[in-house]
Amino acid sequence: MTTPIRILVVDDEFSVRDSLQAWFRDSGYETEVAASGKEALAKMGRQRFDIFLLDIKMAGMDGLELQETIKEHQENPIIIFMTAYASVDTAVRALKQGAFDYVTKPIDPEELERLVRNAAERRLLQKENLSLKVQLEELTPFKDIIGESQPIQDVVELIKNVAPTDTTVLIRGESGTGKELVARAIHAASPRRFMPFVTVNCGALPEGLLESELFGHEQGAFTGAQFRHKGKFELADGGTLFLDEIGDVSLKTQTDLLRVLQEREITRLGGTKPIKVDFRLIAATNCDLEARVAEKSFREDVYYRLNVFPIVLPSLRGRAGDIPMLAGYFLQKYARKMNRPIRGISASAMALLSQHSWPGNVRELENSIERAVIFCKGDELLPEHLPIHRSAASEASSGLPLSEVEKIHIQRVLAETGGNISKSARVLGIDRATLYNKIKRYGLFVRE
Amino acid sequence: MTPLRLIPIGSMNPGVMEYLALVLPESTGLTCVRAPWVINYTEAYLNERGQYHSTRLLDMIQVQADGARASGPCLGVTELDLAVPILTFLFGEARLQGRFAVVSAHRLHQAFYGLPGNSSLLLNRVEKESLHELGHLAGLRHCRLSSCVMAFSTSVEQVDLKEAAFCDRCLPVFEAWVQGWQNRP
Repeated sequence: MTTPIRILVVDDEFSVRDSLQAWFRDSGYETEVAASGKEALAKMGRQRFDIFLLDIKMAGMDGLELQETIKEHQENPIIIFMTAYASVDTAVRALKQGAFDYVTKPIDPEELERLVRNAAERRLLQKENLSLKVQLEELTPFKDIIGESQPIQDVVELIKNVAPTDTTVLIRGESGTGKELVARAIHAASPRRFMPFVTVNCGALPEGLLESELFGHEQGAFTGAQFRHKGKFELADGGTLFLDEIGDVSLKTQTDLLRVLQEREITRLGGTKPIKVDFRLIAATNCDLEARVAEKSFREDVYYRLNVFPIVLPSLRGRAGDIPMLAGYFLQKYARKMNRPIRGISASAMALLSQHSWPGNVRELENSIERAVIFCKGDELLPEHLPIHRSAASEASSGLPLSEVEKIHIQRVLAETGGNISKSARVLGIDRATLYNKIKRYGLFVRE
Repeated sequence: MTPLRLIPIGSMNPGVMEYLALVLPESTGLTCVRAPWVINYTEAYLNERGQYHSTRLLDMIQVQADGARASGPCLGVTELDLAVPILTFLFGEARLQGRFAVVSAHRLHQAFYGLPGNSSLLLNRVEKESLHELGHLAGLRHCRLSSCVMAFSTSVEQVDLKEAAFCDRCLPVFEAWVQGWQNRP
């Protein structure tokens, strides 16, 4: 059975609300009415609507303002404006801002019928589309894990085995090996896939902030806590919590974490009431956790709680056979994204890619291909487009002072980008102002 | 048995009232009586539109029914052009699961669309729209089956497409409603 279409009519005139509600109700639509934008938003907080019929001119928040607010609260809302002949211009503006259509008051019943039927069809199509997308995701949770080598196939096998369970997973591997990708694949293949996947990068936050980020806080819990804030444990309720760089967590937070893992409940900072939480934990690290345990900077009990099902990701060096496939995948991704007609990678460029040691693993390979796509003007990636070619070439400059090497490198990048500051800054990994200062300092030529 | 009351509003072609009094008992199973109530329809006039507010007419029928202690369903029949402020016109209006409904023949005439008059077609259309509004009194909403009398119509073409009968899904609801009135003293 399909869910009935829900309509919200917003108009400050009682007779309009009353008549349209009766009219839609008779036609089998579930209809709610609101006399103002404020009331409409309150109703939206309680239930979702498929179609909004808004009066343009209302006291307080007018229809156009309400449209913007609705769009902030709901993706792809279908909004139909009701307007007097005199304000058709405003209705046209509303259409430009994404409204579905408008009708002039008084409304011709035949036109209203046609409009609402079309809007309902559009809504059903949107819903169908979404469900097809979800189905597709379900069918291909491992689509982003590229590679046919045995080490990566072993990882896929481990994911398939552990995903349907609620077991805590510890993903280990060098930086750039795709730990978050694997965590997402586990979530996508798990029964929790329709619930949130929440990521926390534990290494990126200072201790105090990490605590508040994980546990949330009550209003006034500390200076700056102006509002009540839900923590990641709460946000992940029903879903999966991914704690990246778990090895960087302080001993104090480890103790708190242990309590949550044991009790499955949290207390917000500044709060007293414990809140039950239900999440599946996936943690990841590139640290040698055993060494940290030995030197007492990582709690042994936390280590055992996390290391229930370890998955060790191979480095790219360890699965060099996958490089051509990965390079082809990234080339296709960025060529499409940047709208470049690049058909493939030349044999010499591929040889260069396969010989490189890739200390930054798959992430480094992806970045290299992205940069190469920026530089490539033809239909094939060549060695000179690859940053690793440049680094190989720059080995020849050993013996030069650092500033000279930097100058040569910047000059080369500027030449390759045709003097484009933004593009060059992106390639060099610095901001435009820094690049500009260096150009001035080294007296480099820039296209005006 | 509680009868269905037919109330002419404004100047009505007596032939239309007679026809309804004849066919509605057959198609509904309710006895029909014509109520000689005076509905002061001018009070429902919408100056700026040159039309009549159908919801106000329903209120006026209710006042008359209450005064006459009439407890059954009441159907106003009129030649007036009906509307509500937000909609340009209506063929009729009813209170869902209520007792009061009104139907207008104004836009059911061929002449309204500049076509030669056709009295049979007019009577057919009035009967269908009357049954439609009675269906709402029975609690029925619009039916997706275009041949069912409860199908939604915003044009006479759509009215002509439907039959003067309820579909298999709507009929039991309507019959139960009729039976309710038949069992009342």
